[in-house]
Amino acid sequence: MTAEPILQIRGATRRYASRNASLWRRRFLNAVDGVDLDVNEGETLAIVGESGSGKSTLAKLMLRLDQPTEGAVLYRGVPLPDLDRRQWRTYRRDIQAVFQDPSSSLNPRMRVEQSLGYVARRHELAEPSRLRAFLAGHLAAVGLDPPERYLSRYPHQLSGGQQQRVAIARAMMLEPRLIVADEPLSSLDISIQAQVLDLMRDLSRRRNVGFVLISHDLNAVQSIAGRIAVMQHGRIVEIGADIFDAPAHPYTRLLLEARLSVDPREARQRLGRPTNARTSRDGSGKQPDATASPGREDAGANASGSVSQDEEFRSAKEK
Amino acid sequence: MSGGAANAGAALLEVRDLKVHLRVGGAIVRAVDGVDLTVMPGESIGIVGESGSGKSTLARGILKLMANVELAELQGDVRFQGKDLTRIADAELRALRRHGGFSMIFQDPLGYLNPTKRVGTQVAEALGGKWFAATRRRVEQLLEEAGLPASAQLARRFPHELSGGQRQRVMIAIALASEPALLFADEPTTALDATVQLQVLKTLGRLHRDRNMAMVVITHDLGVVAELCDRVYVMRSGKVVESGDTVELFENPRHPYAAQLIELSTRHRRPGPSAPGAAPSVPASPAEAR
Repeated sequence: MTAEPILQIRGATRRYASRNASLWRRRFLNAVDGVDLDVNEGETLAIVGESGSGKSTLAKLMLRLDQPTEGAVLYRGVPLPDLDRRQWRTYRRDIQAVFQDPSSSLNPRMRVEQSLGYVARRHELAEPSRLRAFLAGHLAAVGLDPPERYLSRYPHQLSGGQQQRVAIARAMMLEPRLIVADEPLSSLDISIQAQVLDLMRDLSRRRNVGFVLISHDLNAVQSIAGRIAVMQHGRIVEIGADIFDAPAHPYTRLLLEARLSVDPREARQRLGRPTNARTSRDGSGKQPDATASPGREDAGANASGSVSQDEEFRSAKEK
Repeated sequence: MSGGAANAGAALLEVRDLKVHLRVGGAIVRAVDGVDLTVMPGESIGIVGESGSGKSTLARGILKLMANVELAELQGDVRFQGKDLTRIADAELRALRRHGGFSMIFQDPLGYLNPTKRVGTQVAEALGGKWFAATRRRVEQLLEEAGLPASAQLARRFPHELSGGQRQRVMIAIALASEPALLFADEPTTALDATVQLQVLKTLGRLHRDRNMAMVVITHDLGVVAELCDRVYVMRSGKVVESGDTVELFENPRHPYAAQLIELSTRHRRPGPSAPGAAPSVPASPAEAR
């Protein structure tokens, strides 16, 4: 890890004219609102938040797919618009993107070999005679084996997970220092998610590739991220390595509490006794029988206190 | 709930050996291939599986919502409230949908709401009535029951003016209009943000309890099942690989695929790396993983 971050975001704001704007009254929305963020070499930084929190806009700013209204994004200390030709070229190679929907980020009319070959030729990654072997090697590296079989396929002949692997291979070919992945998991089945996460973990360990992982899935992020940033309304409200263990910001806590438990006992208890489920977890947590059937009946009546607005509203009506 | 299988005579929905084979291009896809399923009155069932496991097709096969596919074969016994849905007359099926039978909500409410009509009107349509004062009160009640406050105002909005969670609640209100004995929910919260998801799940849980309404929840998310369902069916490639009480199955899965799903869902909740050195050698598709 070098001292200088690979990407620095300095007071970046991206303002959009609001969709509800009229001729007379223009309204604006700060999708990203004064964000300061350093991305270090080789680190895996996760950005989490709900839809509309600005995390994808932030990714676009990093990739220079969009430009900040105010502030700047710096690549190795140089603001992106000021990069000269040579620096621009290295930036383009160093920072790669992987998107949510792999089927729309691969050209449906090109075989995998053509799609990847185009990039390889453009960046002169391999001798034309060795191109096929070069591509095959990169497909094998992302677990597409035997690679020759996948080279001749069209994207629609691949599963979602395989497409996402091709997209990752395309990014990895250029030996980037940082991959910005915008919801790379959310269109994938859970078993494929695990494989892609393992792949990312492996790449970051063996090749020291950094990741900016944008996701709404806190569980997936937690297992892989070095640092986690929580975004809300265009701002980073909390950032750190262990904010899930010790959340300081109420929004982080809210997100964590909204996670569904895969433990049905715990979930039943949470639903069955919404008022004090969280505070008295250890007190009554080991009584599965009490939660199984009769406990569910009185739940509606007890609903008040710390639960969602919905349930508060309901119980207020009932009284 | 707990003692479901004991009094089998009173099943609300009983599916025996249901097969739904679809014609896709030239090939035949066995989307549902011999599924047995029982739902007791007031019971909440989860159907989990990954994409392509046939869980949505199963629901559509039961409810006869198969308009946009080409059927190669649809056979099996589907008994709902004692009536055989596979042989039922269309008028009778419509009657079931209109009152006291079943309703369904979907992942993407925007695709099922009419963009040109106010949501209140659409709930009123589900009630089968015009916009009279009595209907209006009932519409407001339903919207409120679905967890939408300030209903009078909200009923006058159009779908595009609502948030995703609100739209799903409108869908729920429409589904409730027919006083269903059984509600099918196909990925009801998948498109929603986490905090909204939890609220909508709570609403569904409350409706399930308060109305004693049976539910079949179709989802890929084991967390949703843990949250809502008494019993769970795990589907893979058109077949049920394991079923049972949610707590028992989650804690003690017998089928390796069920065990794997549960393992994968829990493992990312633990901090730190998972199985070491698993990455490049993992098979490329779940089918090859066996």
